[in-house]
Amino acid sequence: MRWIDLKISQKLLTVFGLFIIGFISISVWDYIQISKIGGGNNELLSRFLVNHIVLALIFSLISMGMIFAVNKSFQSTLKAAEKLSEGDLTFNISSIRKDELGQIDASLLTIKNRLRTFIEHVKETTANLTAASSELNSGSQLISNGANDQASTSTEISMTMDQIAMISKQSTNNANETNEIAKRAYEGIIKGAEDLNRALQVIEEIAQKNSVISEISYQTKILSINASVEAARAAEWGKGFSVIAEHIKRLAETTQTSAAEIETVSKLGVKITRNSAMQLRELVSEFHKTSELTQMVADSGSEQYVAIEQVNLSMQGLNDVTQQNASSSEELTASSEELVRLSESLNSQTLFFKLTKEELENAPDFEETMDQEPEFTAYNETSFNFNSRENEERETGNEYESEFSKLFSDRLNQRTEQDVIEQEVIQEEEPKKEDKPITPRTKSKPFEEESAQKTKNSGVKISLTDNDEIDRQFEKFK
Amino acid sequence: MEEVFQTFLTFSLGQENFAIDVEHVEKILEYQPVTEVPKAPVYMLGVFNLRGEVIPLVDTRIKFGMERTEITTSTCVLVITINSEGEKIKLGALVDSVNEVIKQSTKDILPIPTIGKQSKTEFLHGVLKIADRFILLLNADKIFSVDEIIELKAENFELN
Repeated sequence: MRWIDLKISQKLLTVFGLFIIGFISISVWDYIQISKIGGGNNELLSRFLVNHIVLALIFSLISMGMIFAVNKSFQSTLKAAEKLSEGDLTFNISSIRKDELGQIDASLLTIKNRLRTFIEHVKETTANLTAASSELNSGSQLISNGANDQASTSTEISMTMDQIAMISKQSTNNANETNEIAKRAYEGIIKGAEDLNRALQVIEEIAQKNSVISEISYQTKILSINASVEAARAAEWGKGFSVIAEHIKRLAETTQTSAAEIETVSKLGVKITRNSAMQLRELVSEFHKTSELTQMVADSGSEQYVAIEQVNLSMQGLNDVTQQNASSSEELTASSEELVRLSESLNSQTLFFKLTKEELENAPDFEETMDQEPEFTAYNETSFNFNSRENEERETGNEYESEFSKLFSDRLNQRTEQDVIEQEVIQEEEPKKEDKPITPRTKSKPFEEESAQKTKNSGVKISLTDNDEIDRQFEKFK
Repeated sequence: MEEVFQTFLTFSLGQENFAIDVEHVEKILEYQPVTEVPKAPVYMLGVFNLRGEVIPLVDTRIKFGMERTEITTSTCVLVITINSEGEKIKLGALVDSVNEVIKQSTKDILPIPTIGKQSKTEFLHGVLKIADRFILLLNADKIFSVDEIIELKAENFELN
């Protein structure tokens, strides 16, 4: 060990010790020398020796006192610094000296206060952050749910619109078919009407010809009568002719009768044809109406189709928006979860710093455990189980608590084992990453590792150990 | 007594049937369009042209005191020759329709029952009964009264 690494008290002790030893040895040497010289000044010599011894005693007392005082004066500052390093921000230094130690004390206090403020602020901020991000989380969850509902609803609407579109298309097709049928029927009717007209014309022609026949037969009858008259006037010579004339007359009359019948029949035919034509005309007007109606249906079908297309487009737009919403809200959720994680990480970082007495009590304190030895030993038996079990149960959350319990057990183990702590390189001290394997903590590690971890976390040597050494040192002197 | 047969031409005026001896009938024609003659008697409808001859047309119905003849398709004109005071006059008699030529025995001619002196009876020789119908036999020469004939004759002359 180098001179510099010795404690101040040790250094002082060494120096004073050396000095006192030198003084005493010189005194003894002087006494021997003087006694050798002899003389009767035994009383003076004795008084000289006694004076020197008393002086040495006084000096050593004074030096002891000084060492003690120096040590003590360092203690409070050391304690304060240790508490600060452990994260204990509850300590206070009652009176501040004006010397260099006092300056250190003042600086420590300032650091502590500043840290307090900072930690409080951070704690408050992280609490707000956690709350806000929780709200954000639930809000974005709502949005996500809402977006999902929206998406499913719009899908339903789309399906329904498709059905409507199909139906409308069918309806339009039906209307078009009906229109086609009506057109064809209309053409058929027009053709029928034309045929009827021609039939009418034909019948009228027949009637005309018939009237000609009728006229001819009448004239023939007149002629035959004339013939008869002439034959009668010719008396004997006209007898044969009168018979012929009579026959002609009869033929003419028969013809007339037939012509009359033909006329009757053709009149009936005309009547029937005219009736049919009228009915056809009525049908035509009905067809016009039907055609108009079906055209209206077809038009409305087309309009429906256009409207449905528009609705579909809007639905697509809505869908896109909904999807964006869903993905945005997912991102939001992820971000808010990240936020929660970060704030929790920040919060747990601050847990190292204890701002209140409760926090101090809840977390194992080095000073207190040192004072409460019986409890300490009681812990001894259970610490191992506590360590392993508790750490297995804990995954996230307050990593430092588990660490402290481990520190507890570490110290216990140290005391039982009386090991000397040495610093070792260990794994990362950040306990916060969730992906960090928990196993190193849960399994029981070699004591060196655990203790080394502890020392890395605390940053300074354990005071217990220090005090042990001091005790040992003191014992030397007792 | 010998049965004497006569040949008649029957015609109708409205519901009544008349007959006239064929000797008087020259021709039977359809209704001919007439040219009106001013200052003519009521029964004289006018004159018409028959192969260059001008023949007056008389409405027989008016002559017999019936309503004016309605011209139909069956309306005929009988061109008859009448003997008046030794002169042969041709005229056309408008009748509703012409029926047939019949040959009848003179025995079948029944006399007309006279009910007072009606101008109509002068024109009738008698009545023929054929089947259930009565046919009035006309006296062609006496169809028109002397006055009337004279009137006709005068007009004929005037026209000629």
